[in-house]
Amino acid sequence: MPPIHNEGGGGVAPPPTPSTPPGSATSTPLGASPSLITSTGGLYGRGNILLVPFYNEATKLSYFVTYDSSNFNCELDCVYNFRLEEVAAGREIDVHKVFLKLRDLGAVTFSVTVTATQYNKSNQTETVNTQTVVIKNWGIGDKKLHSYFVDLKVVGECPQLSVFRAANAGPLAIIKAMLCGHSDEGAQL
Amino acid sequence: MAAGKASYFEMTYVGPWKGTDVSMPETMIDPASTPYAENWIPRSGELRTRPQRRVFLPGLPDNSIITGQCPFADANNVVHSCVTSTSGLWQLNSQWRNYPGKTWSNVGFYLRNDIPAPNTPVQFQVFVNSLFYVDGSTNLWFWNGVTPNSISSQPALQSVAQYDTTNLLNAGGYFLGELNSYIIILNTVEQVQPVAGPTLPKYPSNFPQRLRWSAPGLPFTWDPTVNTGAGYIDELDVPDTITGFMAIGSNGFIFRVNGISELTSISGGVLPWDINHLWASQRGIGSVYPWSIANYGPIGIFIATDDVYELSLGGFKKIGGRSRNAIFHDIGMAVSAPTASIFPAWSATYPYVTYMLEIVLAGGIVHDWLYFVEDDCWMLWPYSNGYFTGKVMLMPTI
Repeated sequence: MPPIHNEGGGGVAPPPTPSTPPGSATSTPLGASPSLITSTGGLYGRGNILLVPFYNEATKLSYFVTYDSSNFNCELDCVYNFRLEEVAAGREIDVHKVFLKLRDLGAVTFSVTVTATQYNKSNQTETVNTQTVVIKNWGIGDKKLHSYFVDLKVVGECPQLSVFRAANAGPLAIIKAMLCGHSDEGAQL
Repeated sequence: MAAGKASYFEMTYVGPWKGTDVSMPETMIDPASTPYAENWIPRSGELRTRPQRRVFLPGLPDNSIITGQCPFADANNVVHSCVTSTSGLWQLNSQWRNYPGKTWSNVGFYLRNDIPAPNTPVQFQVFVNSLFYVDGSTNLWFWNGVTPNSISSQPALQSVAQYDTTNLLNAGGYFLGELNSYIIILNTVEQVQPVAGPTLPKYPSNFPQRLRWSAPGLPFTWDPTVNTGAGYIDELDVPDTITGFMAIGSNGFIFRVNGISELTSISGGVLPWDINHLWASQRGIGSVYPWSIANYGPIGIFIATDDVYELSLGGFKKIGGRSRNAIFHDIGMAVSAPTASIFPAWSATYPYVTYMLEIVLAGGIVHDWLYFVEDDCWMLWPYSNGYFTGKVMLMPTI
């Protein structure tokens, strides 16, 4: 084969040699090429899952857990305390209704609690008044917004609304909550 | 109610929800905040019970403790979902769904002297289609996803940071990063010898103030006598030890207990770095907890002595906010170092950048504090009887 001149040297590269038809007896076998080394195992790189390396102290086992973002039925108790309401400082409050705007993610059982502290002026003591209403198997999973009214009666100062959903009792999505009642306009306690 | 005139009132609670607020008395916080809540997640202005946690993949066949996970694409563009444990490096089998019990295959086992401590989360770096990681031993481990194969007799898992090729001494460490084509090991653990010689005894020694780097673009070349691009420096002018590393853009940030040093690449020569300690005083904002540092894209989050900080291209921002006192109460009661992760999504259909800080308390109780970056709020997710042993991450499974 004639020498191949480097570019810029004034020479001309020879015409390309006609290729041998693939599969013919004179085909040259492919040499080793790094790009043809196959990988050792591996994946396509899809199906991303949020994985958490986890060690279970009870079973002494190590494994991977995930948080399933398509399933809001948390496996543990969920509790949410709203702000303590000082509607009128030093005056008695009467809460008679809780309004909830919920998204229906599926059947859920949860409870609504209102707690208030009642001050007894005669002996300078306090009593904690509380009422809990359990809502069982609410929702069918239509993913729509729905209103729910809870009737109760709690009297005292600084009422506080709480929502509790026990472990595995269904998915709950709160859009809005409202505490409704009357506050005393008279003199302080 | 006392007799007299009464007026009707309504108290409304509506999103965007602002998470836990312990910065003021319960009567003075924002109506969208909560003085105490467990296991809720804000979601597009809604307040939802958090996603269900369940077992997704079984553990490793030898039941070794998992210390980290990281996916990478090799030179063939094949993706490997890798897991490190106290016994070695493993990868997820592509047919794991079809063959129960064959979920993981081993890439390489550690030798007896290389077994890492189970409570040291592994730090990974993907560089040129290869996986590098450090685990607190005297090794910078490497796997390219291709070895072993028919033309290579090299073992799959290799310790590649040989900083003294004459005496065959390796280096590893606790933290790892890449900046301007340099692989950087920080808070190093190196093999040292009382008497030099390739066959004489070697001992591991920790250099908590040391920063060691490879030659640029050559992650297997660490000996400065072989290539002057490799080298090391001891940060002896600061009062503490290195607790982490984060690269944002073209800058690296070396975290210390009492401060942060900015690392800027200035040349490819003998001293390639300009190291600038960010605070004028000897003590300033630093990362007190080594494994609390996590970053995703341009966002990095770490815990200093006085607050939780977000570090981004725009500078530093305190994010502990209204939840800070509750978080630091838990940190103060922790029985082990808190660990943290940032992940961009809960799944492909649920993008939501989240910082998850796990604090293990006495009695087997664990408090996970989650910072939802978009909502700028913290929520508490407590549980018991277990703990995370590595970073939370989106991992390919197909």
